[in-house]
Amino acid sequence: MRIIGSNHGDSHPKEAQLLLALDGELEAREAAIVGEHVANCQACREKCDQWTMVSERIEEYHRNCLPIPPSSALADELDRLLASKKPAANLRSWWQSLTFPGAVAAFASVAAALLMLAWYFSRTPAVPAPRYVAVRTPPDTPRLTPALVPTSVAHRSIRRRRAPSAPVDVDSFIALPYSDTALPLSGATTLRVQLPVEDLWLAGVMVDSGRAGAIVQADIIMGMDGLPRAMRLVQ
Amino acid sequence: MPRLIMAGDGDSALAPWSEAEVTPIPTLQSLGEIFIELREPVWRYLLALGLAASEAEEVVQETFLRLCQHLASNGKQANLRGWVFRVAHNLARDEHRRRQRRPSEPLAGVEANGRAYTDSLATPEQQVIDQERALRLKSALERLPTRQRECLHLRAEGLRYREIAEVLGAGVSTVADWVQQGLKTLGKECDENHRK
Repeated sequence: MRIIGSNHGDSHPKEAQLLLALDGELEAREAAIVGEHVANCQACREKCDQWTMVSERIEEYHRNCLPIPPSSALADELDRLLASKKPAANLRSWWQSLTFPGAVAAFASVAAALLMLAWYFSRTPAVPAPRYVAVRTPPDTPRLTPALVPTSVAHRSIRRRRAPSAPVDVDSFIALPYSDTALPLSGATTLRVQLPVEDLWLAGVMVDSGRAGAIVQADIIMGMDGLPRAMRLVQ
Repeated sequence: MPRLIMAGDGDSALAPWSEAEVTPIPTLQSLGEIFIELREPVWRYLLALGLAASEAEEVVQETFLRLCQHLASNGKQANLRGWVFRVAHNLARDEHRRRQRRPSEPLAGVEANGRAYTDSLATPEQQVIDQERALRLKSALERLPTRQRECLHLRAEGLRYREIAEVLGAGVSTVADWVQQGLKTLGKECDENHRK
């Protein structure tokens, strides 16, 4: 431990350093060294106590024995002007007036609301149960046209085949999830594709899991917007 | 001083004041706050140095007038507390010299103007003891060397060592030595009075 100088050639710090430590004027490191010495040295502790006692008496003398300054027109005018500019002391922000339980409850409410919003926007809509297109009869029977390129469902292998010339029986089709069945099928096109059964699952069409990995054929009705509307398994 | 140009004074138009002619006024808020914070401490310091109440009041007013001018001229605003006390200290020293040149006047000193030491919770006997102790302390302070006395009074008003150093024009370690010597002397006197 480095002692900061010495008055008497022994291990005590200089009296000026002792005083500076007492008044909080030393840097933290030096103050800690001096403080450690004082804690273990009665002589230095007695000096500090005496200086503290004398300092308090001088401050007491200043507070109690020296007269109060007389009222001054300048002081009164400044007081008045400053009082008119200061905000009211009793105004507090509403959150500062909350007690601790109130603040906890408010925070919990806000957090719960945010969590609910996050859950609502992040939830995956339930996959609707497959249903038959036959529930709503399209006004026009889709005409068979040359195959169009499907857009919404990723097909690993698509074979475009000339569609059979016979009109499609839409009653056997299953409406795909997310498709807007209210839109008319006029101008729709039927496309026969081959695709892995997993793609059907991704499209929301449940297939017997025993056929996982298999390639299936399906007819897909494509709307004018290029989106698939319904499908049926052919094989 | 700003120059007001009246129409018909030889100038055909009223010219705007130039920047050099317009004195910026310090904000009332900053000056008022400093005044309210430091007026009483400066006043007490001046009385502790031995000024009469009327002299102290004049010095206080002069000090804050100079502060206003200092702020208006964009003077240094760091350590304003030390600056104010330094100006008050120098004005008090000038006042002392003026008093020495004048025929001696009965001073309305601290003893005459000072409040009776009162502590509403103390018994009358304790109040008398406290008053005597305060008078002994005052006498002991007056017997100290000037620099030690000034340091102790400034320290009692809450000034830090670097602020005291600025007021007295000395180094921080010198100020610490003065304070320590003053406290040591007063401590011995307090011990002797306690033994009596």
